[in-house]
Amino acid sequence: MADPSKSGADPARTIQDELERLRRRAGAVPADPDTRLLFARKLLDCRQVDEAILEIRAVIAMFPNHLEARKLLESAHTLQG
Amino acid sequence: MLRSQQEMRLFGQRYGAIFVGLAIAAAVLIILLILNFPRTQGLLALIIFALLGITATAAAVTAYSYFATKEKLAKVQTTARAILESLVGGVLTLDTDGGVTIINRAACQILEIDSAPPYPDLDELPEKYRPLVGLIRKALDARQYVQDQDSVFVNSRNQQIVLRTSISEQVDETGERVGIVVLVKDVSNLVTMESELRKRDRLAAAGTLAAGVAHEIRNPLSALELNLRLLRDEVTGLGRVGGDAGSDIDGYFEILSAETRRLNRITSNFLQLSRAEPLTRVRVAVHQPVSQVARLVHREAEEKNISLVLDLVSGDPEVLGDSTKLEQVCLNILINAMQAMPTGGVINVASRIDWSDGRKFVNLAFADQGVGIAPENLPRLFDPYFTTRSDGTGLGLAIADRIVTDHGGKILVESTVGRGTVVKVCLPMADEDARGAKEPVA
Repeated sequence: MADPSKSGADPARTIQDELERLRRRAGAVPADPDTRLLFARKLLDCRQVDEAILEIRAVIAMFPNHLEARKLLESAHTLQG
Repeated sequence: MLRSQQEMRLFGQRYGAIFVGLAIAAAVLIILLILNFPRTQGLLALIIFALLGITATAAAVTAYSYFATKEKLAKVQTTARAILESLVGGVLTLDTDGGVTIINRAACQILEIDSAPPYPDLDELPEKYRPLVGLIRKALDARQYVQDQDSVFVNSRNQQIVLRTSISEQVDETGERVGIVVLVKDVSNLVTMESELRKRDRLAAAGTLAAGVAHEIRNPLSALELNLRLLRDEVTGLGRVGGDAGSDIDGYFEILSAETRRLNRITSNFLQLSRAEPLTRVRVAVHQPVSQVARLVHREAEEKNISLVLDLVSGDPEVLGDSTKLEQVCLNILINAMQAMPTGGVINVASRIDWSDGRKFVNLAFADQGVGIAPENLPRLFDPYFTTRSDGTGLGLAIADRIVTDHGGKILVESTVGRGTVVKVCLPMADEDARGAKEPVA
């Protein structure tokens, strides 16, 4: 994969594109917790905490025993303050 | 060898007796001769004294034999009694009228009968022994004997005991039936272990099946879900349908989406069960996963008006295990507890250190004030896919049980409908010098 900084691409734009790609993927397979948590992690990286929390809560609603989702939700709440 | 020595001793005793008898007769004769007993009567006297001597000898031999035999019999009885008493299984014999003639200590302990006679009659045995009494009655009245037949009763300590019974005919030396011999054995632990093994086998089989099925289904299911979404966008975008028809189509798409989501969820759960990852065993302070999970669920608990109370023993006991897996155990149990409390309440998580089978265990008790579990559901609680909730997967406790078993521990559940449930997780401690431990319970 080409390095965006060397190819002259806008890093912010690249991150946004990546986020959109994950959003579409997560939207396409809403019952797949792994894809949705990947998207939620990316949202947290981009400090879009509220949307990340919604995404994680949706996973927990489907899989209440999902330990990883619970831990991510706790991290999200910590970030939210 | 021992027997021939005894026989030699008996032989020596007999000849000793003859010698003593003859010596007494000779002594009497010598005394009479010294006293000048008339010579004419000497021969007669000699015969009389000889007869007396022989009679005395015979009496002495008989007496010796009697006492020797009695001693031998007593020893045989003592040995037989000792063997009977040292048997792990219970043995009792009954005469043809149903009266108990012999009962050993193990049988007394298992059946909670006073070991001192008189023993109770069959009809006097408590109601809880009805299955056993039934078997004995059949053997006595109809000569129907059984081999390794299991029956269940609850003892005075409220423990469920599985009794394995074998009954055979007791005959005398002529082969005549004089009663029956009943062998009883408490096989509760054995049955529990067998049940555990069967459960593990079922889990392993389910896991293997799940892995195969999930992998085969998940990919086409994802494609189905994606294309369904694209189709929906396409139909909506083209605006080909409107009004009631459009609404119907939206409804159909919604159902299709919901069902594919459900299928995906089922396959994900299959995969979760089938992931038999090896444990990463390190020393884990057992309160750490408890506290961590309590932190993870406290918001949800508050939203549901549930208070989480941790009552953890001092000393931070350690187990040899996988911290993440133990967190999963705590999470699954706490989620179950919260789901059982729709109107809120208190969940108490307590830890204590205890002894079992000579080993130290840390016991974590998760006590909720929920709706409780019906007694008929308790035995199936850890079966994979067993659930009483319409939206449940039936995997939470099955997974928790497997993890705890992999740690060498066990999960016990006590529940009262309408009052709540206590789930106890017993884990073997990492070492023997844990602080805060109670004295061993005898």
